Amino acid sequence: MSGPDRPSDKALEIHGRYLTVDGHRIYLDEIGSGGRGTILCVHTAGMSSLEWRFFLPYFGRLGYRVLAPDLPGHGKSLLRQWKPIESIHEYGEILCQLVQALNLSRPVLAGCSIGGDIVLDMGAHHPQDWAAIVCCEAGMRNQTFPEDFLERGREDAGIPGFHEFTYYRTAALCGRGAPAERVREIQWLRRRGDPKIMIHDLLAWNRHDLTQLASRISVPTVLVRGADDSGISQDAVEQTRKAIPGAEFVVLPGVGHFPMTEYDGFAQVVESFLDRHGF
Amino acid sequence: MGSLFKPGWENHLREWLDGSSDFQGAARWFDGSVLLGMGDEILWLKIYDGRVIDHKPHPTPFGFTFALKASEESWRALLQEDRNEILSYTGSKKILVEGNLLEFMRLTKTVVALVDGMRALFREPKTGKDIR
Repeated sequence: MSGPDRPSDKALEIHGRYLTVDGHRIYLDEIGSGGRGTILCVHTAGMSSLEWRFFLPYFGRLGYRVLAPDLPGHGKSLLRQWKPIESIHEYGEILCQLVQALNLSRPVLAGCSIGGDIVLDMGAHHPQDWAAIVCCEAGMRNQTFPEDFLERGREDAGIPGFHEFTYYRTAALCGRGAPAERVREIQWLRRRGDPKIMIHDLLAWNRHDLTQLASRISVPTVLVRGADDSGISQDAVEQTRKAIPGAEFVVLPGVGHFPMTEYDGFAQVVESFLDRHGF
Repeated sequence: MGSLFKPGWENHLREWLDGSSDFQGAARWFDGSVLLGMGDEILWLKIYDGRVIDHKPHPTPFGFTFALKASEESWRALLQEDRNEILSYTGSKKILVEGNLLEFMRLTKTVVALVDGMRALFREPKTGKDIR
């Protein structure tokens, strides 16, 4: 990775912490002091903060405070009321509670896949609360999966071998330019999650519909799509760009559904966007 | 199988799968059959205990556990991909899955290994050595 120097002190290492949000235990990874602002990063379906482990140090060294929580039921965050969430908006409102609990002031919101859906949803519902939005591999309407397929997944018997399927399907979601080691890491990350949580996340993804609200997003927004991503079409992202006033759209050749993990240059794309908007 | 493979390729496929630890490991827990439909051509594979124990160039009275069917052009496109994209093709219905879809899901690794073998034989018709 080119760019800033390597970290020279403990403050520029990722450290984890727990906090209680609305009575529920949430885990997050964190780095940096925040002199240049704060970035809040939201992971993809079924995954965790680990997806952002290459992104965090880059912006920590640039002077940002960067936080990557595990959504409820993911990673080390406990499940709320022991029920999986299947609403993008509900996840977003929990993020708002997290922002309040941490006393953050207008962070940049970055998210990928369902994380991208979540940051768009929050941009539309609470535009005053964010400095900017970085939305990857997501749009205002997705509907990637047949609904009956996901409904079967509510029971393990409905999609037997879902872990194996996820493992191999994930490889196909990565871009052709992704290093083999990164692909293996993403496959492992996807496989270690609870399949029930993954299914509910995908139901949320499938039902996400911001077509009537996307125009409310009034903060600087960049949409990022890996050209190899088979999870969301170029057209779906292009339609989203048109719906959001002033939104930018960056396409990354050779990249798939996980730009922050697949491709180190992704951090520079985000840096460039933030620089253009005076951060 | 049509112009995709040379005559007798099915025997080489069985040999290839016999040497694949991925196939043997995943298919060890399967007692059933898979039908490959490539345009007008058919290959029926009876799989038991991690091995292909019989094959026919036509459907059998036993039917199949699940089938993968597409035009010869779609199969050719799959086999020419620079990586194994079978799940992208089934997900986008470029290749149709028929029969017991639960068993298809359970046997994802088996299917991926089977297509690995087909890809190898598509490139090196006699041995498939190049990507083993």
